[in-house]
Amino acid sequence: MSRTVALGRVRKVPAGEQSPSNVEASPHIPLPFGVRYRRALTDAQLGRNLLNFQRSWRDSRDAAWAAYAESPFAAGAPQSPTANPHVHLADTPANAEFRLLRDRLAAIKDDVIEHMPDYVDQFQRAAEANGVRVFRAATADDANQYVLDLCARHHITHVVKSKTMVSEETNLNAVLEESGIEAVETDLGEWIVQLAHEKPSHMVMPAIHKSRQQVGALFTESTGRPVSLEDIGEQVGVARRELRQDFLEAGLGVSGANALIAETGTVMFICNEGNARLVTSLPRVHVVLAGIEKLVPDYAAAMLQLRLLARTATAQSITSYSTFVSGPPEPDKEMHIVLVDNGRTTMREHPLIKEALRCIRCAACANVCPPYGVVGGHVFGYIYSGAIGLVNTPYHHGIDAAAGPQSLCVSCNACATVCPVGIPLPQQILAVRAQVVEQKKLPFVARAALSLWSQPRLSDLAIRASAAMSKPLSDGSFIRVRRVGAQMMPRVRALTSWRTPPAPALTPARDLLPALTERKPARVANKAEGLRVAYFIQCITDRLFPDMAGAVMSVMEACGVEVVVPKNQHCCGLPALDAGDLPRARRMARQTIEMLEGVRADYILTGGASCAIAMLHEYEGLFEGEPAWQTRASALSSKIIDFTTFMHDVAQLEPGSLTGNAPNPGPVTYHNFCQSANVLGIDEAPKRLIRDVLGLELRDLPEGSVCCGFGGSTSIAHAEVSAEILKRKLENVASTGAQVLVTDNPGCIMHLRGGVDASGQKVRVLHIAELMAEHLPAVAQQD
Amino acid sequence: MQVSDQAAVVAPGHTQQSLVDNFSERARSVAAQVSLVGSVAEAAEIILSSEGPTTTSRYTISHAALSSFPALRDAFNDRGIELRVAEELEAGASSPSDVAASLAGDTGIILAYAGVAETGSFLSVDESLPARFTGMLSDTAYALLPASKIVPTLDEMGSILAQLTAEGKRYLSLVTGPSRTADIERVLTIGVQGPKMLHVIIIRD
Repeated sequence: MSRTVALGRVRKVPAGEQSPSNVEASPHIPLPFGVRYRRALTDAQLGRNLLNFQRSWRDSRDAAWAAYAESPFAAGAPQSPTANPHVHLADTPANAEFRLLRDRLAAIKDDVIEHMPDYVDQFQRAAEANGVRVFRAATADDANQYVLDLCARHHITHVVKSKTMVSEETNLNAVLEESGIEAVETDLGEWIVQLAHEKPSHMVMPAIHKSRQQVGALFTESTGRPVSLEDIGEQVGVARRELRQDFLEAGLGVSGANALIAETGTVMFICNEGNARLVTSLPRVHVVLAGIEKLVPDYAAAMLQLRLLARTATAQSITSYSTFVSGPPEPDKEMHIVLVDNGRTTMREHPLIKEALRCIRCAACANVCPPYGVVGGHVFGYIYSGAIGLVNTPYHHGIDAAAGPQSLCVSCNACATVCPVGIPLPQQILAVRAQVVEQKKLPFVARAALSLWSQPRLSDLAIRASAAMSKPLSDGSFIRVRRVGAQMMPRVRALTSWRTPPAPALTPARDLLPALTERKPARVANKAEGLRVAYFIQCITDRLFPDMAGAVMSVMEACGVEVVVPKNQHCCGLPALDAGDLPRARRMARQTIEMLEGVRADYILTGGASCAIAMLHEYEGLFEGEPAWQTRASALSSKIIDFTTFMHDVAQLEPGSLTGNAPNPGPVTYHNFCQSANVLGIDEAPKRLIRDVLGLELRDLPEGSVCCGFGGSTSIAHAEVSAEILKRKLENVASTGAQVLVTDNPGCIMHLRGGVDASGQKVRVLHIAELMAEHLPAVAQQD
Repeated sequence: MQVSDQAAVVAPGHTQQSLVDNFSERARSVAAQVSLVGSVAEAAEIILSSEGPTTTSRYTISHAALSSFPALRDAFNDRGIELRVAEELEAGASSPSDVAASLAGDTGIILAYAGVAETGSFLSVDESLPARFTGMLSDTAYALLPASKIVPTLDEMGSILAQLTAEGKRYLSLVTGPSRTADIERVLTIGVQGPKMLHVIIIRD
C-alpha cells in the first residue's frame, strides 16, 4: 500500500506483525478449519467479547420487539401460515408481532424463490429502463471479472466500498488488489478487519470479536498516531477523518443491496454510518453487487423487510439511512448492478435447502448460537457465519469449506426461534452434515459404532459386554478413569477432566421393566387414569440410567395408567441423524415406526424429550422423497408425547396434590432442554409441576433455555466447545444456590451429571420423573 | 391530508397533532432533535441560534428547501448571515468532490419531503447532487418538514416512495436520526460519516 503510506494515511498492518486471531496464509483465503479452531480456543478475550455481545444483543432485541408491539403503529400485515412449524415461540405480544411479520415476509420470499427467474427478468427490465446496466454473474469469477473490466475501462485505481457480503463471498478485494486497484472498506467494522488483515467474523458487525483495546491498538499501529484504547468515540472519529479523502478521490463505489425491488428496478440498502450514501453518490461510477435472493416484488414488501431487518439485526426500529436508488441520478453518473448466482440456483433446486434463500442477512442466528459464542464467526462459518453460513457455504464455497463449521452445531434450535423469515436452519444444517458425511465419510470409529448401533440385537450384546467389562472402573454411576491411571493420557483427560463419563448399567431398564404393567387404582387424582400408554424407554435411559425408567413407571403407576413396554424397541435414530449418517438413521427410524405401529395404546410416551422431537419434527425431513414412510411417521405423531407434556396436559395433576409427601429436597432449579423449549415450546409446564404440584421452592435459572453443550457428537468431536458451554450453564446453576437441578432430557442429564461430578458442585441432577417419583404418595400397605 | 385543523382526523385513529407527537417522540429516541414551529421565521431563529458540532460558520441550503421556504433567505439577510445555495456551489467547482469538500464542517439545511410517525424518519428526495451532499456531509443538518406531510406508517411511506419512483425520482432516502455506529463492542457512537447532529424542524402549515 505504498500510495497510502506516501500520503501519510492508514496502512494495513502487515501479516507478519499480526495478532494471532486470524492471520491468513494469503491475504484473502481463510486458513484451514483446524487452525482457525485452535486459534479461537487460545484467544481468551474472544469468548468474553462474544458472550458480552450475545447477551446485550438478546436483551435489546427482545426490548425492540416489545416496544414495537406496544406502539400505536404495530400489526401491519395480514396473517400468513407459519413460516416454520418446527419452532415454537412463547406466547407474548412481542412474539405475536414478530411472528405476524415473519410469516408474511417468509410467504413473500417463498413466492420469489418459486418464481425466481421471472422476478430476475422483471427486475432487469425495470432497472435497464432506468438506465442501469445489469449483468448476470453465474459465478463469483464472473462477478469479479465484470468489476475488473469496468475499472479497466474507466482507468479506475481507487475504489471505495460500503457493506456488501457478496463481495466477501466472491473475494472481490483480492482480485482488485492483484490488479493494482486499491479497494478501501468504508463501513467501520469492515475497515477494522481490513486493516487487521482479517475476514469479517459476523455478517452485520464484522469486528464484533474485537475489544476496544484491540481496535485502539490497531488504529495506533495503522495511523502512526496514538489512538485511545478506551475511548470508542475517539476511535470512531479516526474512521471519519481517515476515510474522508477516500470518498472524495475514489473513481468507483461498490455497494451491496438489502433488497432488489423487482417492480421498479430499485436497489434498497440500509446503513447507520452514512458511508453507503457517500459511496453511492461521490464516485462517478457505481456498482451494486447483489445475490439474486435479494429480490422482493414491490415497495410494500420492502417496507415489511425494513420493519424486520433492523429490529433483528441491531435491535433498532430502523437504521439511520434507508436508501432507494432506481437508476443513475445524474447524467454523468454510471450505474451497474451485478446479479450474482454463485450456487443460489442450486440451493433453490434442493427441497430442504431452498428456504435458506429467504435470508435477509440479519445475523440473528449467530447472535443466539452457543458454539458461535465460544469460537466466533471465523470458526463457526467460512465467509458467511452463523447458522445460515453453515447452510449456504457448501453452495458458495464448496463442501470442504463447510465440513468443519457444520460440525460445531449442537442442534439447539435457538437460531430458528429468532430467524425473521423462519428458515428451518437446524434441519438444513443436518442436511448439510449428511452431505458432508456422504462425501467425506465418517471417521472409522464413528462409522463402526453407528454400524453396530443400527443393529439392535448386536448392540444389545455389545453394551451388556461393555457394562460387564467396565465394572471394575465404575463406582455404580461413573467411570473412574483414575483407577487405571487413564487420566494421564492427554486425550482421555481432554474428554473427562470436565465431565466424568457415565458407567453403563449392568442391568438395563429393558430387563427391569415388565412388558405390561396392569393398571392399579390411581393414588393421586388425575385425568390420565385408565389410559394405556406405550413406554419408549430411550437409549441413554435404558443403558445408563435405568433408575429414570423406574421413576417414569412409578409415576405412571401412581396415576393409574396402564403401561406396555414394547420389548423389541431400540432407538429412534437420532444418534445417527445427529452424526449425519442418514441411511442408518432411516434404518433405525423404520425399525421404530414398525415397532410402534404394532403397539395398541392411547399414547406413546418417552422420557427422552429428544426422541419425541426427533419423531415429531425430524422424521418428515428424514423421509424426504419417501412419502409412504412420511405418512406412516405422521400417523403415529398424534400419539407421541414427552413425559412433561403428558403430565401437564393429559394427567393435569392438581396444584398441591403431590406436596408434602417427602422431605424438602432444597431449592430446585430447572434447565429447560433447548429443543424442548425451542421446538416443543415447553416452558411453563415443568415449572408448574415443580412449583405448584410438588410445592417445592423453584428458583429461576438464568439463560435457562440455553443449551447445556451436549449436542450429541459435538461433545466428543469438539470437547472444548462443549465444555465451555457446560461451564456457562453450571455457573448459572451455581448462581441460583439450588441444590437440585431438574430437566427432561437424558442427554442433558448425562452431560450435566458428569460436569457437576467433575467440578465438585453439590447439586443433584434429576429427570423430572425422578423428582416426581420421590414425591409420590406411599403405596397403601397390602393386608 | 388536512391542513388547517390539527385535531382533525387525517388517517384512521390519527390527528395531525398525534402524528407530530409520535414522530417527535420516535425521532428524539434516536438522538434527533425535533422542534415544532408555526412559521419560517421561527425556524430561522432556531437554526441561527443553536450551537452544533459544526466547525465553520457557513450555512448551506438546498434549492428545494429554499423554494419551499423562501422567507428563510430574508431571515438570514436580516441577520447579515450568508446562506449559500448548494446547487450554486457547482458553478465554482471543478468536480463533485470539490463541492463535497467545500461542505465539510458546515451547517446544512434540506427539505424533508415527508415524514413517517412510526419510525420518526423523514424522506429526503434531493434532486441534485449538491443537495444530497448537503444532507450527507454537513456536520449539522437541519431538515424542514411540513407538518401536514407526516404519514402514520411505513405502509403509507411505501406508497409515497413507489409514486416518486414512478415519477422518475432516482435517489430517495429515509433518514432517521444522525449517523451512528455500534460496530465496536456494540457501544453506540453518534456521528460517523454522516451528520453528527440532526435537527428536524416541523413547520405547521
